[in-house]
Amino acid sequence: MPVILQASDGQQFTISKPVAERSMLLKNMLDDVGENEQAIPLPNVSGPILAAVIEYCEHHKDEAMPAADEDDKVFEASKKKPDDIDQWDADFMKQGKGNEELFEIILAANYLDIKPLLDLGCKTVANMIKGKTPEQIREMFNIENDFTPDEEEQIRRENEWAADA
Amino acid sequence: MDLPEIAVRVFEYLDPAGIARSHRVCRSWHAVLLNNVNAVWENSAARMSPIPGVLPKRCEWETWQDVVRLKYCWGVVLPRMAKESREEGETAAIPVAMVPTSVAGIKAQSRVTVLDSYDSGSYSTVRGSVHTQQTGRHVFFTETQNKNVRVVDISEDTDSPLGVPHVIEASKSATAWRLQRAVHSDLVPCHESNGWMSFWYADSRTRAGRVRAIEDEYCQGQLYGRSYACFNPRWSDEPGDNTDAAHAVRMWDLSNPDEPFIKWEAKTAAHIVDVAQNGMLVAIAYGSLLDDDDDNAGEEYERPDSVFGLEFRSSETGELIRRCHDSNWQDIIFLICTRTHCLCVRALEDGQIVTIVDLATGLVVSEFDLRDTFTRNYGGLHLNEDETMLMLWASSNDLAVLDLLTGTSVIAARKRDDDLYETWRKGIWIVMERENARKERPRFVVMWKALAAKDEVKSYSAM
Repeated sequence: MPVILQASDGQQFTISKPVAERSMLLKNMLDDVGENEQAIPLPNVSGPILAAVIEYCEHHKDEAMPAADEDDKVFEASKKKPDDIDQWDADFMKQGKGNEELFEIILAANYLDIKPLLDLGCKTVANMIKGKTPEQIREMFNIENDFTPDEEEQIRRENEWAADA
Repeated sequence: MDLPEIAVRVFEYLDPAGIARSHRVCRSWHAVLLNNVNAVWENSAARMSPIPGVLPKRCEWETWQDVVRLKYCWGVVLPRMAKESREEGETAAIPVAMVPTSVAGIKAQSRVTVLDSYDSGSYSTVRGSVHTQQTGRHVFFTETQNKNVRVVDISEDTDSPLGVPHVIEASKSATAWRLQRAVHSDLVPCHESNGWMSFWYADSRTRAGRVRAIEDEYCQGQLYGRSYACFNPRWSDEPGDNTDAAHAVRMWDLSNPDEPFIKWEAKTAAHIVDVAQNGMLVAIAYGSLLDDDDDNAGEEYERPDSVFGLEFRSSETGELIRRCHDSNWQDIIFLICTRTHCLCVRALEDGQIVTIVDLATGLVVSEFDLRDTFTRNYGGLHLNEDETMLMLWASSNDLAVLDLLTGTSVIAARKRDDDLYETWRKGIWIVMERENARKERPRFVVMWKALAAKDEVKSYSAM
């Protein structure tokens, strides 16, 4: 039985149940409500973003679901390497996606509770930050520097050690 | 990056340098990083761990950032301090601060570290030594020519000399008891005789356990929490001698005195020199030419290759984690294991050097010669509980306290023209961390406390 999703702009997407169930939010909803022909409204997600999220879920629909909780935190931490991204995922995040779109995908993944996509989005942003100076980071994300020069210098000194850690 | 919980997820993937630069981006990033210091730094702590996928140990007052910083303290700050200390040259006088003979202000909750010392009396007299082991404010000590182990509470009495010590009576024992090192434990290990070890609660001076840890004449080791790692330091080339016994390494869990939870016989021709553990790894140093020179003087002896070495094993399973490949050293005399590095004190013919090995890689990070650094004379070294301070003491009665967080050091010596210098010549060094450290003054207060000449309020029988 297909599932119909409706984005904030009214755009509708019909997807198969295994694809929808990549989202823990939708999975729980479908488990609770049962099969239903009505569209599920997703007021927090716009059409183009939802399309991208569905593309991701389609590609990954046959993979084993990750464990729901994070009780094995230490083991997970050891796997947390930002460069550990498979090729399809890396291309998916790159293809014509600006920062705005990237952040919206992260927010949608967070809202829909799709942990692998949330992790992928966060890794991608972390990789963008890596190796850049504070000024370059501000430029990239259009952030205003609201420190006084003294404050920034003090913070620089406090964290100086970390460059060699 | 508007939602802090998502920002934290991003920051978790950054390395320490990336986190440091993110702090400087703007106020809101800075605030998120400060407010989530454990989440943000946990992965960095896991990545630098000696055992992949296992988080290092953390003290209750520490954050994961503090733990990651230790790597910098030992790998970068200490070598730099040693180098600067060397560059000052022989002509630069060591600043000698007057160390107070009587200091008030140690409270029960103060973080203090206590160090062994030699009797500081004039050189003409026979000098004895005081060996100490301390947990919290309780200091166990032994002295040459006194078989008893004595215990003082350094917060109990702030007038010098220290309060009259309690005695754990060892006089029934044929040999003098010897205190051994304890880390993160409320127990003090003590070798009685013939490999028998007893472990004592510092506060009540009662015995927590007793085992024959090594079935031979002597046992040497280090306690971490309730886990005691030990070895047989005896080495003999005598034919027919039980070489297995001489190569024994044992790990005891004090809740099970019946048998060690890990045991192995070192498969090397040489004997074991020292073991040290940090709650995660046990460092084991093998082989030494020093004893050999005495034992085999004038004898033909062909030494097999690779009998010297330093290896790191899991302190839970005994499994070999890694070796230090540079370590074909023949002169290790002492090991200390921090959470990130292993310090090897090595004896040259006329002095000592310290080699620092990264536990996560097994590679040598740095090396410094104690003859050119700090006190320029070596008596011993010791760490505080959170491994941010290193004390080096010299047999000549001075002490260097190295604060690895600030990269500053204090060198203290007792003033020889002090009236009390002779009277209170027997004592211990105490280093106390100030509770409200401010930037403009040193984090540590160094003091010398004389030990009472008389004993006994109450005695406790060991048997």
